[in-house]
Amino acid sequence: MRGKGPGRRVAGELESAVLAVLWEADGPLTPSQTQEALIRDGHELAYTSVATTLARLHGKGMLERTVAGRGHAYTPTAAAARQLADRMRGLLGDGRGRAEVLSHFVAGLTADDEATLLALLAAAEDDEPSTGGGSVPVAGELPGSRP
Amino acid sequence: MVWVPLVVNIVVAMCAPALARRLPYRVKPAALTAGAVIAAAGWVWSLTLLAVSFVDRMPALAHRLGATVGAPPAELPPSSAGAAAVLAVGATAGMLLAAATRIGRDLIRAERLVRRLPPGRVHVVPLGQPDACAIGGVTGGRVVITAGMIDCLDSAEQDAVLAHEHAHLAGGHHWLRMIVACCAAVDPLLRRLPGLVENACERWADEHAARATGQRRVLARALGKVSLATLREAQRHGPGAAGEPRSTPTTCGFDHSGVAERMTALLDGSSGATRVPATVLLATSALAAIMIGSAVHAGTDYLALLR
Repeated sequence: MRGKGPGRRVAGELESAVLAVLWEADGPLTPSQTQEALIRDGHELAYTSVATTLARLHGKGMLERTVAGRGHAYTPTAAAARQLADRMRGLLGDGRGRAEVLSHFVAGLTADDEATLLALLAAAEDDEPSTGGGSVPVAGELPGSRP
Repeated sequence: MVWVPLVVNIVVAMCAPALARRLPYRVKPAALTAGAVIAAAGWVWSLTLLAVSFVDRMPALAHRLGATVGAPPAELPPSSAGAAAVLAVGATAGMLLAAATRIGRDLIRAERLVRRLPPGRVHVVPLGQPDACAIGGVTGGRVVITAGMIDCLDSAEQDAVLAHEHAHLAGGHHWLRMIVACCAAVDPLLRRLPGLVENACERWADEHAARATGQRRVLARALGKVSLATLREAQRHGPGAAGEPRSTPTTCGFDHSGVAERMTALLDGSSGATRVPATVLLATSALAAIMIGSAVHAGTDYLALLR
């Protein structure tokens, strides 16, 4: 058992790296596209190990496979998404959300802030047509927005 | 002299919010943390000395602990204070242990996650709630962003958010926050310090992100959009969703609004005070000197008395 430890960890890291690449891709990736993306990330990996990892992840039900040309292209499944989400939620905590190891972008909001935030957001979107034009304010899209 | 650190402790606890307003953002997280450490150390030291004075009055106990038994010197504080101090030292040790256990467990979980997520990239988590988060482990940190966050921001805003989170990691803010949490655990008077330090870290990261991207307004806009989306999400899942006990971690707990302050500061266009006011510098150094001096003095006094 013990001898297997390091090898297994390396395999786990490889799987995480491959999954991370596939998450960011816009569509399914073939093994060689995956390898290229991994190299861009700084992982110098042989084509065979990438292909093996993809096949293993497919075997675990983490990847979906579609026929692309003479080979396959892979994309993460809903199960993989769920697993990652569960792991993150586990770390994000049980709702107290006060873990010092995490620095959230926004923290400490209360419902009373809403009016202030709306006013400030309006000020932030004012007189800046260059970059702000394309983005529709989230406040307007969501139900329950106060006038 | 043994009482001086306790008094200084009260002064620190009372002045910290005012101090936090006057300090420039660059030094604020570290200065508040240092203040908390000095205050908590003085508090623990004073309690320990008082407790030792009590133990010294109990000949049987002192004998067992190997201390010499003599007539209790008159300069020692009253024994009721000593007895209270013994209880307080016990409670303090318990609180510190509990806090350290919780923080240690969080740190191990974070470190495990850091090792699983490959370095050098931002990780997208397929969660709907808008959130971005810097995870600080032992060997490094990672930045994660949820799909919900990406959906509600344009690319410039996303860049600003990511710059903010990377700034947290560069500043080592999770270490500061862990230290302050331990200080607050041992010293009940410092219970507001973790919130103050957290806000100071957020401001620090905001300013760094604004400098890195050169666009204060974009970051302010991102803050506003994400905050509103988070509030809406909380309302949707909040009181009505009894079947789903999941809560949004970003919306819990605090009664002060750091976000509105951060947006205002970003929109104001200036990064606030740039230098430490001379009076503040003088007052804090004097306070620290009194604290350390009296603690050392009391310590040597006690050693002399007990010998």
